[in-house]
Order: sequence, then structure tokens, then C-alpha cells
Amino acid sequence: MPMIECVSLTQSYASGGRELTVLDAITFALEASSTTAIVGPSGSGKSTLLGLLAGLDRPRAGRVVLDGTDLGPLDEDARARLRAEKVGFVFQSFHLVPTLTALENVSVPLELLGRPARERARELLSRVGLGERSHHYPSQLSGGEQQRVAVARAFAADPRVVFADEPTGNLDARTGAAVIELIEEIHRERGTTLVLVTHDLDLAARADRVLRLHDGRLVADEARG
Amino acid sequence: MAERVRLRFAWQTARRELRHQPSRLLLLALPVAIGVAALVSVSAFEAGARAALQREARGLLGADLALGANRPFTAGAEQQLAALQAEAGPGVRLSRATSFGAMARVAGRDGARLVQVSAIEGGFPFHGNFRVTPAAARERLAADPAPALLVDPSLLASLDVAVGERLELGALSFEIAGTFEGWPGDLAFRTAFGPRVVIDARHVAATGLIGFGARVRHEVYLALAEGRDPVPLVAAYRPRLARERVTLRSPRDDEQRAGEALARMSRFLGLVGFAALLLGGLGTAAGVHAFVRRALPSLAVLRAIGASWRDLAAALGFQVGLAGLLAGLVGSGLGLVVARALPRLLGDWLPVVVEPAAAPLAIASGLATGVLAMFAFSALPLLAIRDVPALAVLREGLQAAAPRPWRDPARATVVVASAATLAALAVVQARRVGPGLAFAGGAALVALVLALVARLLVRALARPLPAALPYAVRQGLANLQRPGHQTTPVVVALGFGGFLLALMGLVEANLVRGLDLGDAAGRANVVVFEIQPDQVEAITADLRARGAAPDPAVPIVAMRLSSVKGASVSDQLGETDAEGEDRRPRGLLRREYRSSYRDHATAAETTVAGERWAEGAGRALRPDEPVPVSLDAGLAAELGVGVGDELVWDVSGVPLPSRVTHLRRTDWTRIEPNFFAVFPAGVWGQRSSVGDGAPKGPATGFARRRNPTAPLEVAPRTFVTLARLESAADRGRAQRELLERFPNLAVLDVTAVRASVEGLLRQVALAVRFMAGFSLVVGAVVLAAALLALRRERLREAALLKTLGATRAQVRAVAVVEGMALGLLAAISASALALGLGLPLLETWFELEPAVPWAALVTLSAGLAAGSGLAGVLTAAEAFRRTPLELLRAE
Repeated sequence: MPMIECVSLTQSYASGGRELTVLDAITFALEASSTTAIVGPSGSGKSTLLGLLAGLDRPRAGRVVLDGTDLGPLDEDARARLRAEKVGFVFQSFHLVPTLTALENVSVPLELLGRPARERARELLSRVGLGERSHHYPSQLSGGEQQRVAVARAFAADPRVVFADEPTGNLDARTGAAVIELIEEIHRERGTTLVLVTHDLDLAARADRVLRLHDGRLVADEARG
Repeated sequence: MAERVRLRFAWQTARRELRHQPSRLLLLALPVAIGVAALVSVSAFEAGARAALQREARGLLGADLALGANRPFTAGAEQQLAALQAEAGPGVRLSRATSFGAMARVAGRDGARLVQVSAIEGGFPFHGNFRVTPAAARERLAADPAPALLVDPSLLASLDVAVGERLELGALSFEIAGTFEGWPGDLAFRTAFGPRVVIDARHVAATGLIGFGARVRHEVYLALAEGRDPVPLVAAYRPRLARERVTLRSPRDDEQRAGEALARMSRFLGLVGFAALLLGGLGTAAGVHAFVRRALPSLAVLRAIGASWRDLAAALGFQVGLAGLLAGLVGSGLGLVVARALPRLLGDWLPVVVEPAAAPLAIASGLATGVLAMFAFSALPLLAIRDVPALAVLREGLQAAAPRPWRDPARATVVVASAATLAALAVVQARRVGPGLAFAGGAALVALVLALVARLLVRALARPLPAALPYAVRQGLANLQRPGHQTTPVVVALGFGGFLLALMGLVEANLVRGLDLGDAAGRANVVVFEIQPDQVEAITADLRARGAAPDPAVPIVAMRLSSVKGASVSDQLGETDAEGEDRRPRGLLRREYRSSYRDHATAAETTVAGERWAEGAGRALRPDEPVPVSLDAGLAAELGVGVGDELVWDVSGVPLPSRVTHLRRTDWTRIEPNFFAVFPAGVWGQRSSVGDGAPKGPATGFARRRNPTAPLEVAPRTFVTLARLESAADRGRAQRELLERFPNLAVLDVTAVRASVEGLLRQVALAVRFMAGFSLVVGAVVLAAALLALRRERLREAALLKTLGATRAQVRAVAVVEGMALGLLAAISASALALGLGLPLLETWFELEPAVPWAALVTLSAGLAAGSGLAGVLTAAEAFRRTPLELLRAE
């Protein structure tokens, strides 16, 4: 059974009185523990697709099945619960909660599930090399450090899928590479399914599979030899 | 040398900024505007009241001159009056009035009411708004031989009678001929205790109410020819009449007295309103601070391309000035609207009908106050612009440098200048330096304590919260220390409003509780006074037969001071009168003292100095020895006498030399017969040849018949007794039956009096609470502004939480916890402060054993917490409506 399956996924927005289609009947399925890169120029619908796969938004048409659960009938709160249990995120601009320390930020997904958090969060921070900085606030950390905290948070609740939206977009090449390596390592350790949205073709080339979008359509679906 | 500020550039920049976001100016101005509204409403009310007092001054007195005494005019007084009349010239009209308290009752029915009877001879009132319904009733009073009276409409309601029915005063039955309004100088709150009835002077004697011991005010009113100024007559005749113990007043005196009361009231309410302004300023300061933080990137760009920090400060200064003007304008407008509500709250306290005036002065001062307050509060946060690094242009997230130390000259100057401006505003508001500074200092102290509490809380939250707490609670609490979160100003603003309300509630609850005497089990609830000596036994027996267990009757002897420490009171009255200042000691010298004699102390008395005499000491005195007297310590202090000093009293014309041997403090709130001066029982009583009840003639007759050292116990005197009757019906019946048998008595149902006092107290509290409400509104505005200032951060965070899997309920819970924590913290510190200040105040000033109104404090706290929780939810409402993806994209 695929981990993620989407069928005829279509999204459109009203813009200037006209209907603007940003995703047009996308269909594919992703296997568990695989890595997939979604690539395409700006405005091709990558982030929209990612949001729909994670249940952050509702599609205009089509459906998404995540780990056997059809997102269609679920209301916003049910989708939120599903995300809490099965999905982790890494964003381009980190999106840490500024009022929480690194340790607390990593704890949030576990706390939302009501699971013991502190020890596990500490472990993960050490795993990303920030064991010493666990009581620092995001504003006291560099971009690379913040993104490492975000990576720790993404894997904190042992999700089945981690979505990463341009995770290196705000980092220099060296730091970006280190963060990617970290994500890949943890992904391998835990067998998590990884979906990356990126501009970076080198990064895309490291994935098991590359989905290429253009003007909201899936124009290529390449598996790595 | 400091480079010049480019004002033109600054103005352009300010203009462009405002074009971009004009609503921001209103947000900055709103908290101060509400404070200005509070001040303008009070000053517009005061201006209106003052205009009304000036316009209606003659109506306040009802005449151009009024002569008054607490005893019939002496021959000397009549001579002076004749001379005054002659000097006033032709066209003078004269009217005499006799006023006294009496019980008005409906024949054959339960219930009676203490009323103030004014018996008129002549055309008083000559001026003012005295209106009689039906109009013909006024003529009828003088023309109709049958006794008739006019009543205050409130009396009809309270006795459940109508015009045309009959009321009995003493031994005479009167027909109610009509009602009247606008008796000169009557205050609604005062007439609530004893409504006025007006009769013709011919019927006074037949009521039998003006006997020995009755407190009667004799007045003569003069209306001068049109255009004749009474003031020179007052100056000439006041000292001469004072020697005869007759006061002389002109409308200007009444206007002045009412004006002083008005000024006191306005000063007090103005200061309560000023608290709202201070809080509003605090909110504005927080707003400016947040604004500077947010403007950091654009400020950095301007600095990078060559603007100096002074240019930028000037640009922001223009905006602050405009915001101040806006605050002044909006606040003045709002204040004038609110001022319309004040006459309803305060009208009963003034003898005139008040129309709030849109006084240009009130508006001008509103504008000036708005601008000054705005600058005073914005200066410090604006100064932070000095530390904006141009480098922030290149490095996003670069913060301004840490604030410079307090001794930094610019910072110190700004702080001192701001504090001085605020202190000056407080002094202007209080119209006196001392109270103004004290108020400003007190307000600053309260704000400081609240700020300290907020800081401590934030520090406590900086530590990891117990993991056992639910996530929403921990996140909500952690948000309070979010960078840029205005926890401190919000707690101070909400807490200050809460503090004022809690303090009011505490004082009001305890004062009302202090009145709770008639209801307390075993306490007396019926007072019978004006008992003549020969009626004591019959009345005691009557009360006993009703199961009322009356206390032994207590004698009351009316007397005046004739000399203090050897100095004649008449001389002193003549001397001090001309100066027109310092009324109180004069009043104390002139007033009538209702004193008593007894050998035991009561529960309400505590010895302060000296010693009480031993039982029977009075009987052992030699005729040439001064009588020992026990004085109320407060009175002694005002008179400037202590133990060992001599006072000579005038008991119906007979001198009574006394020596102060004992000073005591008296709990006047207890319903017990308490007296300023108490003498030993049986003073010369043994040698008296005249028994109880003998003197029935006028006071002068008593003086003639007695030897110069007449015993107190044969002086004209009345008795008072207290009793308890459980049911209201029993009290009503006792009142009617006693008055039918003994029409001269006054029989009071204490529970009914208590209701009047309580109503009065609640009305005062309402007015103060109304003004304190401004502070709470400011608090709410500051809270909303603080929450909205971080709207972007909140939305972003809500989106993030939803992305990570938080349900809407969890996101809402975080917002509720954050808001409620702020409200609750403010409420708890406000309550604690109110108790800390209020309890000692009640103990020392009001001499009460205060109780804490827990229920009221809990309600206040719950209300504040719920209100701010709701504000939290409302400001985060957008986050609930939108999907997480929309929110993240909106970044």
C-alpha cells in the first residue's frame, strides 16, 4: 500500500474575478520510506501540492490518501490530529515558535499528542548537534541552528511522512548541505517517507523519485535508476 | 556640535507614513483620548454647574439677605435688623421663617416620617424656582384660616397620601394643599432624610411643637429693591449681628459655599479621571515602543541613506504630536457627550439644575492635555531611535542595541522632563501642589507595584513550566514573555482600573456594613426622642408593654459655649467674622451642644486622656466649684482645649462653669445616644427646689427663676430612649400610637433611616465608580492594542501550530489562557493592592473593623479574567477562520 496517494488532485483560487487553476488533475502514489523531490519553476504549484498532501488545505477536486486515510471526509481538526500523529514539517523559513526555547519547540509535537516530551526532545536536539543550546530561544540561534531545531521537531513524534519545503532555501550552501545530510540520515534511521519541495536540482537528484511540475501540471515523473 | 534636524524632511516622512497607515494614528491616540474624555467631562460638568450657580445665586438663598439664629432674635438683634432695614432703603420686603423638625403622620394609619417644617410669614421665597402645584395653593396657605400645608412630593410617596388628604404635625391636623419644588438651596440628598413641609406661621403655636428643648431655627429674609447690592450691607452688619449670635448671608455666600463643594467634588472626580489619563499614556507609550520596533527595517533604510536619528525622531515626533491633537479632539468630543450623564449622577448634590457647558476652556485644556500627555509618555520610547543600527538594512532580525543606562544624559533628561510634565498635569488637576503631587506619587507607586508584579511573573515564566501542565496552558503562559509582548503595560493598565474598582467596592461594602446596625440582632432599631421629663415614665412603660425592652432614658440638655479658657465666645465671634475665613472653629463656638449627664461610660466610648469622675461625684460638688466635663477628643482638638482647661457653658441663659477632666473617642457610627460633652449626674441636684418637668415656659423664664448656679437636672431638657421591636409592622404601630398619645415626640424607625443613608452612600459610590470605569475602559483598550500589536506574530504562530497538528480548540485554548492570565494577574494584584491600602484606610480614617468583601473581589477578578480571555480569542479570531496554508503563505 502506498504511503501517499493522490488522484486527480485539482486546486484553484479566485483571482481578480477569474478562477485561477494552480494544480490540474495530479495523480501519483509514493511508497513508504521513499524519498521524493517535487521540482518546478516558481508558481508551478509545488507548495500548493505539498499543502494538499499534508492536509493543510482542501482541494477543489480529487483526493489524497495518507497512510490509508482519505483526507477528503476529514474536517480541519481531524486533519490536524492526523498531522500530529503522522506528519512532520521542515520549512524554508524555519517557523520556530519565538517564545519557546529550542527544547520546547522540539517538544511541541509530542505535547500536542500528550506524549512524554522532554527526554525525547533532549535526545533529538543532541542528535542534531544542539544538545548544549537547548535552552536558547530561536532569536539566539543562527539560521542553520534554527533549521536543525526544525529538523529535530519534524522527527520528534516519529511521523510516517516528513514534508520539507525548500529546507535549504534560506541557508548558505555548506549549511544547507549539512542540514540535508541530517534529514537524510534520520530518514534512513527511521524509515520515514520524505517529500522534498526544492529548486535545487542537485538536491533533487539525490531523491528516489522526482516529480516535475509546470503550470500546475505534472509534466514528468522520474524514478532514480 | 549636533547637526541640525531636517524638519522639512521629517515632516514629509511623517506625512508619507500617515498616508500609508492613517488608522495607526487613531490607535496611538485612543488610550490618551479616553483619559482626556474623563477630564473634559468633569470640567464641562463643573463649568456648567458654576454657570448655573452664578445665574441662580439669588435663587439659592431665595432672598437678597438672610439672617438666622438658633434661638428667637434678642432685642439687640431686632434693633440691628431694624437699622439694617432702614439702611437698605425703600422697597425692602421682609419675611420671617421658623424651621424645626417634626413627625408628620397620617391620622389613624401606621407610619410617620420625620419632616422639616418651615413656617413662613411674608412672601419668602422672593427669588428662585419655587413652584407650587396647584399654583393657587400658595395663596391659600396664608389666606385660608383652616390649617393647610405644602409638601415635598417625595413625602406623598413615602407616606402614601395624596393632595387633599390630611397630615398631622404635633397637635394640629393640616390639609395637604399642594406640592412644591425648588425650595431655595435644598439639596435632593438632604431632603431625602427629612422632606420639607411648608405651613403658615400662624399655625406654629397650635402644633405645640416649639417647647423646651425643641431645635428651632429662626430666620429673617429680606428682598432689596432691584439693583441694590447686598454686599456692603453684609460687610457692615455681619460683625454686629454675630455678637447677637445671628448670622447674615447674601446670595454670594451661598454661591461661594456651593462653589467650594462643587470644586471639591470636581477635584476629586478629576483626579480619578486623571488616573485614566495616566493609564492611557502608558498604553500609548507601549504603542510607540511597539511601533518603533516594527518600524526598525524602514528606519534602518532611512539611516543607511543618510538620515540622522534626530531627523527620524523628529518625523516620529510630528506623528506623536498629531496623535496628541487627535487624542485631545476625540477626547474632548467624547468628554462632552459623557458630561451629559454626570448631572444625573451628581445632580442631587447641587442646589441648581446643571446643563454641562461646552466650555471652550474645557476643550482647550483637553487639547493641551492630550498633546502634553502624548509627548510625556512617548519621549522615552522615541529615544530608542538613537540606537537603530543602519546595519539592520543588511541583516534581517538585527535588533536595536540594548537600552542605554539610566545615567545616559539624554535618557535622564527625557525621564525627568516627562515626570515633571505629568506631575504638573496632576497639580493642575488637583488645583493644589501638595495633593496633586501626592496623587501623582500615589498613582506612580501603584503603577510601579503592578509593573513589578508583571515583571516578576514574566521572569517566573522564563523558567520551564511544569511538564504536567497541559500544553495550551504552558504555551499561553509562555506567550506572555514573547519578545515585544506588552505584558507589563497591560497588567498595569488593567490592574489600575481594577484597583480603583476594588478599592471603591471595599470601602463601600464596609461603610454599608457599618450602617448595618438596626438589623443586627439585639441592637436597638427604634429611637424615641424629644421626650419631655414628665413623659419618661409613661413612654418607658408603653415600650415595655410592647415587649421592646427600652434602654433607660438618657437626658439631653441644650447649651452653648460662652467662654473657652477664659476668652469670651461673643468677642471671638465678633472678631473672626470680619475675616470671613476659617468657618469651622466659628461654627463650633456658635453651635448648640446637646449634652448629657451620667456617671457611667458607654460601649461606644474609649478614654483618650484624663479620668472619668467617680459615681456620685456631681452631688458632692460645692456650688463654687467648676463642674467636671468629659469632652469628645476630636472636639477638644478643634477647640484647642485639653484636660484641666476651663469652659463656661450657657444653659438657657444660665452660666455653667466647667473644667475638662476627661477626653474620650466616640464611635459615632453606633446608634446610641452619644454626646460631645458629658457631665456628672446630680450636679447640685440635691439643692434644687424645682423637680422634674417644672419648667414649661420660655427659656428666659427658666433663667429668671433659677439662682445663678442652677442645677443641670432642672434645666430645660428632653430625654431619648432606644428600643428594639422585631417586625416592621410592630415598629409602624408603635410609631403611630406613641405619636397619637404624645404628639411632641419624634419616633424614628432606624432601619428606614439606614435605607436612606445607604442609598446616599451608593449614589456617591456610583459616581466614583463611573469615573473609575474610565480607567477600566482604558485598560481594555490597552489590552486590545497590545494583543493587536502582535497580530501578525499570533496569526503566524496559530498557523504553525495548526500545521504541526494542533486542533482549533487547542489554538483557541492558547489564546484564552494568555488573555485570562493577563486579566487574572491584573485582578489579583489589583485586589491585593486595594486590600493593602483600603483596609488600613478603613481602620484609621473611618474607624471601622473592616471585612473583606471576598465575593465582590472574586467577581471582579473573574470578570477581568473572562473579559481579557475573550479579548484574546477575538484578536486571534482570524486564525480560526483561515487554513494553515493560507496563513503560512500570507507571511
